Amino acid sequence: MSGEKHDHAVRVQVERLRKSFGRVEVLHGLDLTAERGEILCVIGPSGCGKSVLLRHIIGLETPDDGKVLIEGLDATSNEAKERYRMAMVFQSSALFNSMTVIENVALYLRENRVLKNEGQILMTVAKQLVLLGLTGSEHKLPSELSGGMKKRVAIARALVTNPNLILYDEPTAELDPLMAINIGGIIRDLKKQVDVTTIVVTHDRELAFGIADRVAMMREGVIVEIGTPEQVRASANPVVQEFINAKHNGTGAQ
Amino acid sequence: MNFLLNVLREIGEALFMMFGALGQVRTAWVNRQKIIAHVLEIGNASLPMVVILSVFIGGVLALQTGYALSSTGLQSRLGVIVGLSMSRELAPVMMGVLLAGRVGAAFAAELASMSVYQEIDALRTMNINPIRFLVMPRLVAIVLCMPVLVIVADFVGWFGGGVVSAVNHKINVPFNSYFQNLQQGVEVEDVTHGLWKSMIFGLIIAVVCCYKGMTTKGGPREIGYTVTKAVVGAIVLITIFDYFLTRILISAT
Repeated sequence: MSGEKHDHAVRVQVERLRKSFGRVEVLHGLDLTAERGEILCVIGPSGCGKSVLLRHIIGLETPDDGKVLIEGLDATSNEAKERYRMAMVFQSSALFNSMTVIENVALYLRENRVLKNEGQILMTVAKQLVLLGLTGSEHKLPSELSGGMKKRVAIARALVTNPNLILYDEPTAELDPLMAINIGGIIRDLKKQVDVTTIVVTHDRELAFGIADRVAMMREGVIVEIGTPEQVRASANPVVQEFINAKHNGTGAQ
Repeated sequence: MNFLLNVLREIGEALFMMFGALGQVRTAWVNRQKIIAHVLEIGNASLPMVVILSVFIGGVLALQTGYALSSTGLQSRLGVIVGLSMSRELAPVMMGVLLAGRVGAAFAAELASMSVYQEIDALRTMNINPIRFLVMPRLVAIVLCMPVLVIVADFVGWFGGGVVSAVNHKINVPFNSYFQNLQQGVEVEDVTHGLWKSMIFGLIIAVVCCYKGMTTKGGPREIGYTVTKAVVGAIVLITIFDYFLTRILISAT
């Protein structure tokens, strides 16, 4: 990452993040940094707090303690919100079912009056649809799309906001292996075409080790290991080894 | 204690959402297409039901009252009784109950589904205020539609009462006499009382059903629970507010 120049992508720091839901503490003072322009994959078993972490970074949850910094600015501050854009691709894609693909992708531009000219809006949307290989699907409703196409529309909808940081919540969940590889490829390719910092949370080990510049292993609300994919694979931490080497043995036990 | 705190929290949050939506009414012109779409949806969904319900409410009111009055020879006063009952009370309340069940349920189900499937979160991440985008158009549409539907219900209910009065041999009040009596007894103010009430009932339906929908968490089962809670809550509040609104409107005359 060090040799690359990033004018648009941002550095994200998560500092001592704590969050409880009722009596259950989900995040236990979590620290994490994503460098400008990198793809950081956060892996870990279901229920370890990965999605909660993403929701804090984008501001959908308020932490009990700790903070998220974007380029040193508190992510909840007006200054950070004015200067930097964050976008998120949700696990369920979260497309609006009553809207066509083009309406879903254009929604941010129309509702926020980012571009007043409808022609400019359609051109911007068309550019994203071409980038994501969605040409020809402009007027389809989400119910007419496959799971993989829905994910691509959700990525297009995120990119149209011109984000400095893009967050993916389980991008390959509910997809077949081929489609999962395809989505992984798209995330990786976008790094070459768009100057953006990417944080992916997933329990898909193949995706994480296939696309990440760095991998962070999360367990029970804290990061237990972080490094390049090679470093994490070689980790002596038994928790990491248990997760990355888990295999089906036909009995349900691992 | 927890139950009470939860109820108070929900009331506070719902009021906060209501004031938020009312504050966004200034953007109604910009969002007019969404409002018109909801108005058409509410109208199309409700109008046939409003007509059927009102004609029979007017009819049964004439039948019950007519029988009672005929024993004392006062059935000539039937027009004003049906007219006042429909315009002041039955039309707004019954339309409130009907729209809570028909439109409020749809609002709650749609928003609950959007909440469960993270669409409302997606709006927030796109800097789109869900209250402006989802709640305000529904609130404005139902508050506009309610008085119109109540006027329709008034006329259809009066007509239903007139038909029953004329054709029922025991009541036997001619159509013309019924309407003459109705015209003499029912004033514009009586109708506007019902219209004011209906607008408040529309507000209640929108706030309760949108609030319940937007705060739904969980899965498909919770969407079902939300719809039930929203409709029952709206109907209970309509009934409670009806009493107090009636007191206020009567004391104001």
